[in-house]
Amino acid sequence: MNKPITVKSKLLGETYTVVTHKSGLKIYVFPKDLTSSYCLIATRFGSVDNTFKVGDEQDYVTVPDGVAHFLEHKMFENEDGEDTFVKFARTGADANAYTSFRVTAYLCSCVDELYPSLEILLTSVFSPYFTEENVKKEQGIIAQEIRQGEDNPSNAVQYGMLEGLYERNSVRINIAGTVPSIMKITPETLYRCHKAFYNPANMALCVCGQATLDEVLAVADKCLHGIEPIPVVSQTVTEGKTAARKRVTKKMQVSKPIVCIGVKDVGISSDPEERVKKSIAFDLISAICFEKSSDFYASLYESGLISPSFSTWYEHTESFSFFSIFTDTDEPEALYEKFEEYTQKGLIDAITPESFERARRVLYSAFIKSFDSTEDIANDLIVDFALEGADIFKYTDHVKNITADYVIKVAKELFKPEAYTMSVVEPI
Amino acid sequence: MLPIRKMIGDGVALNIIPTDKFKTNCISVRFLCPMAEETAALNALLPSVLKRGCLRLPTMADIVKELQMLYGSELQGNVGRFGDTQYLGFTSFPLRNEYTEGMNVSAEILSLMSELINKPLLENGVLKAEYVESEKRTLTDRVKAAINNKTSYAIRRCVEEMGKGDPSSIPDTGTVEQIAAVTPEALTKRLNEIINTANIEIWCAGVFDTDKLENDCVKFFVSENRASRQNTEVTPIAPAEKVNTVTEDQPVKQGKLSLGFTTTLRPTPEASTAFNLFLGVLSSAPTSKLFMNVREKLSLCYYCYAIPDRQKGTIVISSGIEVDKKEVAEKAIISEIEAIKNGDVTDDELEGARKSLISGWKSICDDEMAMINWYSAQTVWDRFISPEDCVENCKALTVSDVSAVASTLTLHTVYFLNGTLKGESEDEDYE
Repeated sequence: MNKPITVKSKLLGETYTVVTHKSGLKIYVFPKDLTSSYCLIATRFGSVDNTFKVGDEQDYVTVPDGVAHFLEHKMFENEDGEDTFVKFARTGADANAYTSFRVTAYLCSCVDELYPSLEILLTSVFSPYFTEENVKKEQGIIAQEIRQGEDNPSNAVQYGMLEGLYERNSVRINIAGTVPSIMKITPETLYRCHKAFYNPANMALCVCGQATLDEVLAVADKCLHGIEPIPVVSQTVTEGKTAARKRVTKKMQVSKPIVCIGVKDVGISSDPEERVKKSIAFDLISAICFEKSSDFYASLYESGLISPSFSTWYEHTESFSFFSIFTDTDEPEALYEKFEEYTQKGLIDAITPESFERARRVLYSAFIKSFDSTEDIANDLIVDFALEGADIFKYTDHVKNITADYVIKVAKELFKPEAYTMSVVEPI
Repeated sequence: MLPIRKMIGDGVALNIIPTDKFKTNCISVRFLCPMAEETAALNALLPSVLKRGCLRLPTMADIVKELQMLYGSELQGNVGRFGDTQYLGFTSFPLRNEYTEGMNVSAEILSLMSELINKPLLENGVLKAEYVESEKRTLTDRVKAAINNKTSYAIRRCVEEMGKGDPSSIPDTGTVEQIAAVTPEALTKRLNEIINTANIEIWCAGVFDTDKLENDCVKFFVSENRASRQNTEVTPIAPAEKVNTVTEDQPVKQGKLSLGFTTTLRPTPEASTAFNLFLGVLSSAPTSKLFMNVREKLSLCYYCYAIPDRQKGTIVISSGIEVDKKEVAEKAIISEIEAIKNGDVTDDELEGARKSLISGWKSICDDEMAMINWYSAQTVWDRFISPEDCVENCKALTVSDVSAVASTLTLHTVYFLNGTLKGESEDEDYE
């Protein structure tokens, strides 16, 4: 175990301590004087990691789509036959888990019995127990979850946009997989994925609330022993700069067409802090050029081409990066034309010293507000920063130092029409 | 900490929850009116029309720019329902002065809310027609889009079926026809009625200069012409003599089952804790019967949970299932309620529910909006019950208290949204 490092933010009046446990697990303890404490442990295993090799294996092996999410569902089941939720119920903790494109996270919030709850969380995550029977049972539950998602037009239009942008990157595949793909999952698949990705060296833990480092370490010592670090490598795919398809259309029962226009970005830095900086630029572009204060929004809202459902969605990570707008509209093609026209001229002019300063205040304020909740702190710290290799407290420095020129440069590189796609869900 | 409640005008209450644990304050101003067909659409339109522009800031962009300069404060327009009451208003979470180089953003936000309400943008003496028409279009789209979310649609349809002829069947958006009938003149008249006659509940959580806050609230929200308050009492839904069964076909893959129950229990401070413990055992706790048995053991669904309306005395149990499992799921859900009635509740189920509720109550003070929601639901009572009071009350409850709650339930309506699509994603094409 290395020496704990304490990191302070004078602006926020907050402090956290980080240490690498002897198992390889990075542990963050963030004291916060609120009633409920929050524990979150996450692994760098998301839906995009469907082809990988472990240790000294020569060849990559591909697993069925949706396996990270399936594994997440199975980790709260135990050999003693007692569900982890029942164990948490005894400490009064509220537990949950989620899978994204990039990570799987397990979490619990509790008021009274923090360390016993943390022990249940860590024990569950490091004690896989899969049988033919319990895998079969879960296939029924997850099939219903997938069906529910498939009936959701917003999900469909967003996945359609990703299918439009990407030829090979697995971000185009539904996080939960499909009903046929999850039916191929076996206990062996799950054990292989668990061994590969649930190695403490591939994970990070945050305890936020009424916690001390010594007591958190005592629980970690108890739950994490005898696990050797094994390197795991996910296959990376190269993607061209242009969108794979110009249009993706689906028909569903909706009241009017729903549209998502996506822009593919291949300019991804290997430096995590550079990526944070660029994602701040995406935030600022969204706030300045597309949100309600922009002329773009006002004129399209007035002409009825967009509705209040209008929103932007963007991700800038190590393995994919895109920017998109979402709305319902009666005229998808007219909206696409306006979008292309605006992003080629007009958008850059919207970035003025005044609009830049307003957007920066919005970002700054949202960041400060996120420190009012142990849940937000633990999620942001681990998922958005630690697992990406960045430091949460450096964020305000980036926001302070970023310039309008940099944002303009990012915008100019981003908005190239050949990188655009439009996904539409049309009424049946 | 209990709220400090003070009547500052005829039917105008200022409620302050002092707390210094947060970097933001929370301010919510709510106007309460009886839910009625004539006014539902008007009330629903008002916050969004008022947010489009006021005398000083005539466009939406002007208002958003002002909010961004106020350190990115959001200003939410709210419309909702509570019992037979429809409320409308605004909510915001301004940063505290420590983070704004001394600017009192909270005072600015309260003042802005007042401007939107009291100094709206008028043309020829009425609200600007262009904004009214544009928000009518938006709200109409939203009403039509309600069909996109099958889960909430199936719950809402069940509630409508249970409350035919009752205010609970009136959508809090109004209907498409009611929205279409709105004119700028009618909306302007409605705004003035609300300012003068609606009950007003102002909620402020955080750190405030309370004297200034009270003076500002009187100045902003107690109009000179305030008249008698409106009736906001509630009539619960009566049990059905015969179960009402409704099935609707839609081209989706998953079936949605909504079982609507009535309860004869009334939400007094004393009864509410036992009611919550019952809901914990049935649905909301991680050890609940619906989660553990209907989902985990029978593998029938991804979700199955109960949505209570404490004021109307109803509970809707909602789940998403394979269409051919309707009878099985219906039977399974009803048998869980029967089990609770018969006292068939294990220690794990009872204690799991109790601990989960206690944790939930204790953590309410970690979130300003949660505190406001908690206490604002209690203004129908003559006193406030704190989450800590509920924790204490809950400790003494036993299985027989929970069974007693279950015994007040009667099945009223079975609503089934029958999915007619089969198999994998179809209708996709690439260019």
